[in-house]
Amino acid sequence: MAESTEIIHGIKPTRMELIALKERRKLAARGYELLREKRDALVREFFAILSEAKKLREEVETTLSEAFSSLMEAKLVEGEMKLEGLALGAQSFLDFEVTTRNTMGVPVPIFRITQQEDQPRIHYSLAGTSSVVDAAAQKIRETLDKIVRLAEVEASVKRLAAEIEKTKRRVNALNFVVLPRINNTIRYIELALEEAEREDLFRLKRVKALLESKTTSELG
Amino acid sequence: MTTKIAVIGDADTVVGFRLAGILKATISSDSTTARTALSGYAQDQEVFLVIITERLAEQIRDTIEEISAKPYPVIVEIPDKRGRLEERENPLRRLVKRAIGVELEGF
Repeated sequence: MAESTEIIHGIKPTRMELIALKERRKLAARGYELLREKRDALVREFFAILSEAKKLREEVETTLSEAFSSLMEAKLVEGEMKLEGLALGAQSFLDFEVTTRNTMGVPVPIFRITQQEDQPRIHYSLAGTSSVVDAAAQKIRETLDKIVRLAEVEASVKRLAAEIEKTKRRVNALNFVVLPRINNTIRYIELALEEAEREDLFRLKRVKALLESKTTSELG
Repeated sequence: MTTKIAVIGDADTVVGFRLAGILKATISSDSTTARTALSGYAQDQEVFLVIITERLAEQIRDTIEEISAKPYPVIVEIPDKRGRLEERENPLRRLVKRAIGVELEGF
């Protein structure tokens, strides 16, 4: 990337501005350090949670495939019509809770499925159903817990990724735009001040020479 | 207000999840019905999690991306009875590339 030569416009080359700018540079540099630390911590968290997401996805795939085999078996034993009828008539005794947790300032969802108290674990009519249906339903219920956990973790991964991107953008803006611009302006003011100083010195010498020649001529 | 899970999938997926106690479920076999169902659940204040089969999700990727930009509902994609889609690119993979800037093996 080409070094930026941009300066902050509308700033007068005075000593006061120079001091204020150096203060600003200190602040920006501190912000840059903090944001970089935040980004690095986010990335570490991201990788930890990413491997968990991967593991969970594999677990979901395995349990779900087992659950579907039981379901197909139930379909064979009970017949498609009967099973669909049971599914249609099903009731739910599950509670689904959603809360939010903060991971490094990023809100991530927490999902929890709980069985309602004093309610049956079976959600469909028991009349005339065989144990294969129970087995299938039980398997899917187990998978459901894993799916919900996977959803939670994948959502965390997504939100962390978005936060990393945002932080990265801010880190880069400070490093490649804000700080160079401040530095360029500081350099510009310093040069302008030096130039003014040289001019003053020159003027002084000039006046001194004039005065001296005047005195000598008066004396003479 | 109660919070709920919704399912969008083929008939067997929906039957399975209804038997396990998830009653907000829509049977869908094409992108049109899946899209309608998903948009409907996204509007539903009760729904915080939508479970959708990968097969359907692949067909309505744009709608999923759009809804995923909001905090809720969270959408989770699962295989159907035919198993994992082999050609499916793990949506997390793209995310990793964007966040970290490099491709990672195994994601």
